[in-house]
Amino acid sequence: MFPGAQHLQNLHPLVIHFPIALLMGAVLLYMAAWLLKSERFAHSAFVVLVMGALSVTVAVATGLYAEQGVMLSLSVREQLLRPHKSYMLATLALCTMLTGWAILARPFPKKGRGLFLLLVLVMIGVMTVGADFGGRMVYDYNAGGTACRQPIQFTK
Amino acid sequence: MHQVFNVHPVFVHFPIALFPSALLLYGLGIMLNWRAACVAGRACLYLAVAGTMVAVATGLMAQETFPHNERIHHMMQTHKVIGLLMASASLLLVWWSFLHKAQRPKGAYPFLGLLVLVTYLALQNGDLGARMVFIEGAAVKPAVSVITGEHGGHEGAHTHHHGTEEETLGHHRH
Repeated sequence: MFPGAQHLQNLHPLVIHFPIALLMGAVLLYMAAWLLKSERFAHSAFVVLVMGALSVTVAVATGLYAEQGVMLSLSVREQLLRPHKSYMLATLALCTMLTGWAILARPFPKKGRGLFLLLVLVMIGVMTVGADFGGRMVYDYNAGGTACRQPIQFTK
Repeated sequence: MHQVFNVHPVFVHFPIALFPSALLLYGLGIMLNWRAACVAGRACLYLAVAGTMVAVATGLMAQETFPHNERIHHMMQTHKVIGLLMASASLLLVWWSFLHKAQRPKGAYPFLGLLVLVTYLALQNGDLGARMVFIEGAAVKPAVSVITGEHGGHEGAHTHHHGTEEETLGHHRH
């Protein structure tokens, strides 16, 4: 049914779309809820944040599982994979904390709302930088792909 | 991000993740008469459609930005047709989502059927995109020499250039 997925070295590239899209979607909806003072947007943002938190957990788990098996040179591992892992673990930590906060004061914390929004934006920033390292591994070093031979050494 | 050949890969996450999310939430909302899930499903649908529009636009621009061979070109054409079809059907879903009673779309099950179709198209197109990148090396920098056949790549591989419509047609007639 999905021949591309069958050729992948691991599940990580299939999963990563979900945290990126859902967490960014949650931020947009929380921003809309804040600007428009809309409960409906706040409820939607909360649901999307919880789904994003579940998916980022799966993405980190599949990423950690894929780490040993993915064909990459040591220099690429050092320069790209290591920071990718650090940023994504930080994203998971922030997301877990923010989701917990949102659950306790659902759907949109009233107390410390400004801090909540700021931390949500920080989480998106951290995730974006981490995802950029992931994108560079795929598009600059053919991580997880079979189109060319490994190892490809890191170049600036 | 500046080192990636094009920005299309940045936007493809949205339709791939948000159409299945919209389907899940609308599915739960319609089957369980759960209004909040329908509202969240609607939000996901609109975000998915906005993401699809940007993904289609950046995809159309991206086809000119990296060297590719005949095989990637054919895959890209199929990817384009599916993408345009999906974008059109998703706009129909947006229009349909406005026709609702207590957030439940009128003709809820046909609506869900169309959403299943759009989700399937999004996942199939994502899969085709993954084949282009991970197997064929489309837009992957170190794969350029393989694609252009400089270092003994795919059998019969050659660089495929997009020209004007006339040039392109002429190229394919050969």
